[in-house]
Amino acid sequence: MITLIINGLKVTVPEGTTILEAARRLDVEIPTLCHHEGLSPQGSCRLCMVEIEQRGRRRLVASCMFPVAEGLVVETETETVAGARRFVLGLLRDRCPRSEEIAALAARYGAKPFGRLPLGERDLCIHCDRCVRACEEEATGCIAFSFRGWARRVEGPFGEAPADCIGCGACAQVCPTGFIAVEEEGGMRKIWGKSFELLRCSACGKPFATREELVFQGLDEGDLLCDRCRKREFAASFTRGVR
Amino acid sequence: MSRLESAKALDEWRRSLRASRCAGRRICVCGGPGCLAAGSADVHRALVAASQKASFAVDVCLDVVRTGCQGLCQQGVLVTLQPQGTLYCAVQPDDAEEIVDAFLQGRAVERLLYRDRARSVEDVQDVPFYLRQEKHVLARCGLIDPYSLDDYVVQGGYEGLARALCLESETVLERIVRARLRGRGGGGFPAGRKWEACRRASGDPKYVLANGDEGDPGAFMDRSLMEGDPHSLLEGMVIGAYAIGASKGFIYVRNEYPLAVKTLQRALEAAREKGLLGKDVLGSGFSFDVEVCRGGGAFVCGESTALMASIEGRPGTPRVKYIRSSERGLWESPTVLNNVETWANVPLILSRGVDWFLSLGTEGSPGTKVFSLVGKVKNTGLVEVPMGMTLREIIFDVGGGMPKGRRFKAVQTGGPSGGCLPEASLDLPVDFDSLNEAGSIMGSGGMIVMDDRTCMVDVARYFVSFLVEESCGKCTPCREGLRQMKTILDDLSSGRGRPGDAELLRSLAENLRDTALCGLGQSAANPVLSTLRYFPEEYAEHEAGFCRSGVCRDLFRFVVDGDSCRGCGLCASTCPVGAVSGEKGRAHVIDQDRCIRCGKCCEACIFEAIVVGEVTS
Amino acid sequence: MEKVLLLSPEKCIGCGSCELACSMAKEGEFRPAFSRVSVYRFDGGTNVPMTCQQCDEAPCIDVCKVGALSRDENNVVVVDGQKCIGCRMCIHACPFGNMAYHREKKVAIKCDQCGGDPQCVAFCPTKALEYLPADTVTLARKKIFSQKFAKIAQEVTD
Repeated sequence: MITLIINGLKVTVPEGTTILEAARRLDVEIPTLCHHEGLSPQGSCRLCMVEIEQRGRRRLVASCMFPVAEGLVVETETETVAGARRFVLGLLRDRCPRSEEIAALAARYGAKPFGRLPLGERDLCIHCDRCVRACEEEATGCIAFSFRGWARRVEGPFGEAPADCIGCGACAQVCPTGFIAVEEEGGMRKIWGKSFELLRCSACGKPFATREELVFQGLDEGDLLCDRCRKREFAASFTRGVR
Repeated sequence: MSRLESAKALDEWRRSLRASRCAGRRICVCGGPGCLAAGSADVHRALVAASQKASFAVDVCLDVVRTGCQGLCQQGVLVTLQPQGTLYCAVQPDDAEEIVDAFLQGRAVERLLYRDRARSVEDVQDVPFYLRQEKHVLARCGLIDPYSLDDYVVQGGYEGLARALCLESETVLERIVRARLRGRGGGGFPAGRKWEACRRASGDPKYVLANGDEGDPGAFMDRSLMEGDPHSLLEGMVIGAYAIGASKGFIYVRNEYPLAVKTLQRALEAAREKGLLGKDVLGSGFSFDVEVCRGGGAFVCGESTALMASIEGRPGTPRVKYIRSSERGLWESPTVLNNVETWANVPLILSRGVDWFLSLGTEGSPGTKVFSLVGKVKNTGLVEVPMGMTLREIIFDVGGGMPKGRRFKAVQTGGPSGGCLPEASLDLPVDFDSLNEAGSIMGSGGMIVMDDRTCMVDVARYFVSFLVEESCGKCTPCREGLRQMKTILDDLSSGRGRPGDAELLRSLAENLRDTALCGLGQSAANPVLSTLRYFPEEYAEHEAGFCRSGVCRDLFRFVVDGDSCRGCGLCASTCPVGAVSGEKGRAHVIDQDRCIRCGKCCEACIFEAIVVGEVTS
Repeated sequence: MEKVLLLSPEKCIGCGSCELACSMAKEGEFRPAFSRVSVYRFDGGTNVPMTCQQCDEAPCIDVCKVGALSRDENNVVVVDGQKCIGCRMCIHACPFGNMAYHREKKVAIKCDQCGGDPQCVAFCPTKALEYLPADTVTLARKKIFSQKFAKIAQEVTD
């Protein structure tokens, strides 16, 4: 176990814990954007920067990735930290002026846009990479960032609808700004420029999953039931068993 | 070609090679990047033909070889005669026969010799450019045929490896630690400490990597080494691998360096064939092999974690690194990554000894450093000097100072991650620590000299634009912050600057430095921060709409200083748009509506009568 | 001692108290649609309560690569809502339909036995739902129940 000090408070956590995890145990609030507990850490949004003191040197580190060390002294509310948060959020305010999530965070931490970005280059994507990681780690890895720097953008290979997409929508679920659009209407799910026909439950007739999702899991055979009807079906068979 | 089974066999082979060399008479044609561009391939062909023709007539053996960079790129195509050491400059294919004839007759071709203040210098060692240099890492570069392992061995190559293999691996490591060899790639991290950590780390296999992804504008040190003396890099890597206990190595080279790739691949084959690489190196029982890995030429791939990602076959973007690569690097294995030049220093430490190495350079930064000296300096080229030499000595003694009496303004070291240092910093000793303190970095050794016609805001704009293009875009500060900085710099240099822009720029740059994910992002602020620190007045002038250097076209005008103008008319005849007019012998006038501010008149005037003035509305 | 949740359809009267208790405990409101336990009422008066059986080899855990599903100290399969990325693969994977998707929270939900104090059990008037120490008697009863489940599962797959 490792003991460290966060904002003057002692906390003891297992080795390998990150500063962010340790801080959350103490209910110390650190804002994050690219961090998602289910996904491998990335440390790229730089919003979770905290100040540490090591070997007499103070510096900012990404709390979501920095492993705790014995006797580490962490400060999360210094002027330097606040400045870094205002910087990152200010940049994102310029980049994504239409994002309510970013606006709310910026207001909370007192960040203002710098206002020196050329117009006509804005969307909701904050490049947190959560969608790409979700797809890679749970599904088919069919989306990625292409190009680099400012022009970097998330898309399917060659900018086309990703052939391997199974329409699970995890990418949209983890997107913090709602940049990834997923539409479900009339038994269809639309995502990444692809339309998926939703399979209908053979019992209740409600659309419940894309065929690609079930194929991906090897579950596309036999009677296709939605989770509710599956539960019911088993209950029903059970009554037969009781009789 | 049989395998060498022991250090002794290598020694014997070297002796037999030396004995069989025909009196060592050689014509070395520089095949460095500068000379190649100046047509050295044609010169080489002509010299081969001329020497063949000559050898029909006289029974002599004359080697014509293409070598790596000989250094004085400004004067290319360079040809050096060995063993005399006669240097010819700006050689054309037509000069070939005369060169060969003179060589055979034992005299020099006067008109091709280097000219120093109307005096021609025959011996290459006496050329001022070379006089202050100490070539150790570059000793063989420009002297040997890079494709020839024989050449390398004749010049003492692989002696360091042979010595290392006779020692315990700990002893080899201990020598590197004691030599205080610091990473030549920019950071100056002690190589020995890195190796030690990797050796101690658990995990198998261990890797050694060479970073040959040199991407700084104006830098060609590693390229020259890889193209001119590839075995020195290989030898260093084998020694390093032995000290660390690594079994596999990679050399990461950008594919924009096709000649380096080809040269390295040939060197690998030759070394393997001779048993200097591969299974059971020199019969020692130690096995190690190296692969060349080509990169796509992204600047960010020079960053260690991005480089490793690229070798692993993933997109070359940096990873957050709170655990050192020496513990968890390539494929999560303990890895040592050193730059090409660092590796090339290793054989020297083994063959010539730690004390010899410590006798070079300074206490904190022993050894020498290779620089590519470019920009507004008389002698541009590849130079190697002991650490601790001052910037002034490098620029004025080795580089020959400013061309045509222009004034020195700044020197940019360390590429886009480095900074611009002003005249007041010229007496700084060049070592890792002094440059850091001054707000720049040693970097991998790019050195760009700037004169008084260089606008520092424009320089910052150039580097920031480069970085905007090269930023991988993974982290917010670098992706978004640089973009905003570029807009501000664009605005400042085009007359759209606003009061307070310099301050905003500083705040963005400082935040970028403190929050970016990787080393490249953190140092991306340096060009802006260093110019703000040393040239604040230029930023203030740009905010107000004036560029004193006459670079930002919307922020100045050329005016004729009536007192100095003699009315010679040179400016008027040079002006491409006919904007200058005036009677012979009377002060001329520039029509501002027509003037396109190309600067031709200013360059042409021998009385310095055309000056930069403020725009009046 | 580890405890197990036992279902006894023959004792169930189909009152739905368990659903209400569950949704109250988990969602803070009476909303049977979000209940982790469901009661199915069939013609002829049979009622069957259904909830997660905490399979020994749980397909839901296997399919979740982001680590949102795991076993707690009581061997109960639990969802970490912070880790869930809402891909719904566990929902498709559960052969018994005991995993559900919460449309508002955008995460998978399932019975976690209320961390050792299952509210459905607390409010079941007939002991159709019981929470008992995993002693030999209980385990034997659970085994009989599971075998029926297995048999049914077999029939369905055939």
